[in-house]
Amino acid sequence: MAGNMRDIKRKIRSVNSTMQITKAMELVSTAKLRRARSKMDITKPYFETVKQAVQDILSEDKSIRMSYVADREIKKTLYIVISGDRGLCGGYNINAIKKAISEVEDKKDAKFITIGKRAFDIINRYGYEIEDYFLGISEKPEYFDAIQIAKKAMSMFDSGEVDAVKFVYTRFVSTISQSPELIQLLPIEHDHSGEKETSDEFVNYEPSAEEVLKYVIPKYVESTIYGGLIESSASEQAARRVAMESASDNAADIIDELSLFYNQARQAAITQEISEIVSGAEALK
Amino acid sequence: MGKKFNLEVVTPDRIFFGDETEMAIVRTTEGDFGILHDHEPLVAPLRIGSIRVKQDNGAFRWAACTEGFVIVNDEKVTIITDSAEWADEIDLERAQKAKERAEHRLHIHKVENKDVDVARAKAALERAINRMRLYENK
Repeated sequence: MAGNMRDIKRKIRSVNSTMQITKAMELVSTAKLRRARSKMDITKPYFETVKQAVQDILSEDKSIRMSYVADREIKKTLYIVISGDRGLCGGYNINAIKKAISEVEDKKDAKFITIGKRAFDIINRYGYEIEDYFLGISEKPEYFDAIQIAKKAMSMFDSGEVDAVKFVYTRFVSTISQSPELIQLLPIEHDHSGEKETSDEFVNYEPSAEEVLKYVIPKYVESTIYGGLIESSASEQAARRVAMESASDNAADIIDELSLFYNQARQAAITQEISEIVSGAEALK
Repeated sequence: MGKKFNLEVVTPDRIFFGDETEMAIVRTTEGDFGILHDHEPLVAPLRIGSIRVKQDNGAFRWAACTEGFVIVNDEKVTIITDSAEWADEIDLERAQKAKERAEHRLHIHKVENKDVDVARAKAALERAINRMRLYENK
């Protein structure tokens, strides 16, 4: 009996120390989430303005024909996947990776650029071709990182190594909900959903629409990647916070349960001891 | 006083400017051009250079900017650029260091024939020189 009690006590202690860690991680990610969210709020206008600008130019001038918008036959696709460097954040990493992998029809036609250690490890293990990988930028993405990724993706698209570039990031819906999203970066798809009547207004492009797009599209790719990085980092912190919160709750539940067992065992031991003493005394009579 | 229009300057890390102004002058790849109220719709890429915004007292406020593009439509004028700072905000020391670094890179490319991203170094040099020039003229 005493051995059993000691076991339970040890278990309580170990769960308790786990709970301390998860509690601390929860607090850390709450703080990081706040920072990531404020960064997201600052960058969103830029990201949205660029996106709007590209859509406007493309929808106003249907005559533009260049490789970035043309519908060519898509054989090889490059996937850019954003994940975290660390785990312990619920389904955050795996959901984004699954989203990308579920899109792949043929392993041979898929190439990957991974951001974050998790995506690299898992996609590598599944035997996909990883063209490039970026580690250690998921938590605090900088615009410069986005430029590097965009440059790589653009050069692969330009050289015809891939026919399409798809981008997977995790959209920050709210602090308790994040959803993985896949968007096609290149070739750019016309946004048919918000098709407004084409204005008669003539927009002047200096020096020409093609020249402007040649400049604007790389910018669009960069800013979309940057926006995705920022949103993913906020999502990661939010996911981790939720995961750690429920881990702490679970640990508290386990401790409660174990304490109950412990007290039961203690009671049983006392009862047994008393009955032993009583029966001993009885025998002496 | 001429009529005013809405001008917005956005960079990746902040909304640099968002207010009404009478006139703005930007440097596009085709040369400087000024925007007044009711300008025709236009889209043009920008070069490393300056943005000049007319203030209420009639004087221009200068800002250094790097590559980007300008969009003029009926509602407002939007300037999207990688970075922007007012002339009096420029960190001269940082610009000087960036200039030296870029020059050093170009130097080792020329002399030692080492593999250097020349385009990047040249762009960095141009940005640094642009900042220093604006700082001196402020």
